[in-house]
Amino acid sequence: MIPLPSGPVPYQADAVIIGGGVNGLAVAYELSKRGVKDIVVLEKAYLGSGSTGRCGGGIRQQWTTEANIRLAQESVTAYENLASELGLQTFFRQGGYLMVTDNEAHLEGLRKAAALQNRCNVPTEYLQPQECLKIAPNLDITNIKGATFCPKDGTAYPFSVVWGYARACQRRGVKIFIRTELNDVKLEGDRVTGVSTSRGDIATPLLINCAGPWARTLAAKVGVELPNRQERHEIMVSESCKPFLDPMVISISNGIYFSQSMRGEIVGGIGDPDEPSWERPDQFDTRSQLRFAVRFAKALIGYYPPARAMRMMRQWAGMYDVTPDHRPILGGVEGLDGYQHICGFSGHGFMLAPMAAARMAQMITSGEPDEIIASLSLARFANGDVEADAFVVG
Amino acid sequence: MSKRILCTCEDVTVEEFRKAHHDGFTEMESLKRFTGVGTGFCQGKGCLCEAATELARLRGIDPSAIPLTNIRPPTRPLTFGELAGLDLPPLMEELERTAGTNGDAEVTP
Repeated sequence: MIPLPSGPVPYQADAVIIGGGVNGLAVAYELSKRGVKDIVVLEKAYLGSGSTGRCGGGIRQQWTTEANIRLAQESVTAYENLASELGLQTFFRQGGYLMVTDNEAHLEGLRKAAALQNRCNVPTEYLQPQECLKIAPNLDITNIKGATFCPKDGTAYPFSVVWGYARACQRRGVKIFIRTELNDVKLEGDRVTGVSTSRGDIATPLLINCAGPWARTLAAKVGVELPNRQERHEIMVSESCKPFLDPMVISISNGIYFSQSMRGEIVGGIGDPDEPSWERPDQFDTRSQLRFAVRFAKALIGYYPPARAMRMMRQWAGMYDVTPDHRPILGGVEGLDGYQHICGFSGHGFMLAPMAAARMAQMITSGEPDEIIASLSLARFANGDVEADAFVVG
Repeated sequence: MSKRILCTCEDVTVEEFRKAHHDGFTEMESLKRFTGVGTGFCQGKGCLCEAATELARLRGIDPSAIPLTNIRPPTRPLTFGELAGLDLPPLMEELERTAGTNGDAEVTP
């Protein structure tokens, strides 16, 4: 793995990537696979310490916009092969995602989404409440009005994926610096020429912003304003039990999601509509509160009554980097050379990372435009070309 | 190979901990997630100080220079039934938030 740095950063690099989370490490790996030589990744704390390591590890293809479905679909294929490609167990398990709702008004949307996903070759099925019991026995279906299920969705252990990418990067000569902060970005006219860090300066023609919830602060350093809001979300893990729950269960009516990890724990969270977004990304508060634990426990027992006897081990919080349409921001900015975004995943950066990174690396090295990246550019907000994804949960 | 146990909840041996350190996991936060030290039923109450002492030995520095991992609530595990029986507390003001430490406030060791 990546030890603490023993010296300064190199004085020059072909690419500098900000953020040692799943997106930063994945794009470093994909760039190096495509022949980019001197790549430096800067991480201010430890690998996966930002949003990646705090996430629930879910990977799903059940989305309501084609770009998200296609990215997720390619990412699932990538996750199926990632352990052997990176040489590290990722604990990827395809137990499927069961998306349920207690609200009649959601049923039409679920059916339409399943039809769109089917057109994209995602094998989603629409289910009556009774049919959910075949997928998740003991589920309390009293209030459930309908559901969709995709057996190819699943979960992985975020830290393993991060370490896998980091090791693969290391083997290819990518230089990863943990505990190293970005101070400033150097610009000459309309191009990026370098960065200054807590371990020295690096001259570089390419800066990639994979800073997650800190992406907005970094973008401001190059004069780019991101429309992202930073939201705090809480999550928890239970004690380990024998396997009893195959799918990730996710409710689009109350925002709870829970699954059983390969270690036997229930991992889950629930969004809080009253939680404010943060105006100051330098002042995140990722402490926990009892309110989350109580809300989660009530919602969990509501859907899964046997869980009342299980014990919650610990809870923590992380940040979502949320865009106005809940879709990521990929690609560069008109009029600024050498600067690219891979951010704004709105709580879904882990699941979309492998293909967002591969497509970005392909576009950067080949110079060929990419249709999906183009549809997810920052410019879409100014152009009003915004198609929000309806299935944002957690 | 020594079978001395470092973390009794998760059956992590001192040898495994040393090997993880040798493989480049040089901080408590990463060692916890790679080896499982401190993630079991006691939530680190029985092993984190011992683990930090071992890490200090491996790095040749004073144990007080090793920051422990963030302590997460609850202090002892609670059933979902116990939690669900509580009245819903209001959303707290920023500075009044309850237990746990702010992960982003960590200092460079």
